[in-house]
Amino acid sequence: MTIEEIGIAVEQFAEAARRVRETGADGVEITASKGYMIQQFLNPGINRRRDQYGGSVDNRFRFLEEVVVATRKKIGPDYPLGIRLSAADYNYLPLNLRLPIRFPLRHWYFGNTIEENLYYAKKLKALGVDYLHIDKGYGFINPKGNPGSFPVHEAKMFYNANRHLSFKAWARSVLANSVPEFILHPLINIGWKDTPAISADDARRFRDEVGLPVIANGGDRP
Amino acid sequence: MHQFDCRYIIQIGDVGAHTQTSLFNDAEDAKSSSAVFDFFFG
Repeated sequence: MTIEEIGIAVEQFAEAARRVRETGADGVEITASKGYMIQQFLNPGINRRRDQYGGSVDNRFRFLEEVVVATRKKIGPDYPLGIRLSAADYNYLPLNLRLPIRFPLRHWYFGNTIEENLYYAKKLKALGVDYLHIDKGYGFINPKGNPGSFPVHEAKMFYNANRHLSFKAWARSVLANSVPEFILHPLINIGWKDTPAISADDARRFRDEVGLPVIANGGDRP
Repeated sequence: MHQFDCRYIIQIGDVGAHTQTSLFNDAEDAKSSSAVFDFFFG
């Protein structure tokens, strides 16, 4: 994204939040997790920019900071604003299929750890954020986002539904359907565990160390 | 929701099914911090 496009995106987030207030909702939550745009700026394995939006921990936070400041300006100081933040990126789960490889390798392999995200959370508190929604992992669906095993068949439906959108989406669909499931299952099930309240411990740490109300993500799956 | 005495918040920034299952791709769908090839999630 160019600097101009970043400015437009910041404005679009703030405008969307203004419309949320206009609809009569009781609050707005900005997604800075699940591998969507804001987490793509925070995650050093994805963000390889050399300008003021990439590189250092503070530079990677700049986009989210601008979104929060612009949003607060539009919705006013009295309207509840939350951020859905990943406790840690776990870039290596379930399969790190990102090229080119990024150096230092810890950025490519792990992404942000909990220490960096606790730092971000403290900055968000200073910016006037009212609560945190603590998620885990990078990307949707990912092993740290939900307990249980990888929803292989649901994922295949998803891959099939969007295979027309790009060559890569088509290739992903073809692979998912052509690789035998006894090979596919163990590969993409790496890291998935039946752990109830999968992000509760991390969420508690954010609550205790940051001092903001916290929602924990990742309950039991039936 | 308020008629049922429920409070609710709206989450923004999640492109969701609208983008993933749209009939045609848009240039905005490919926007990211950097141009990284991410086979699994990108």
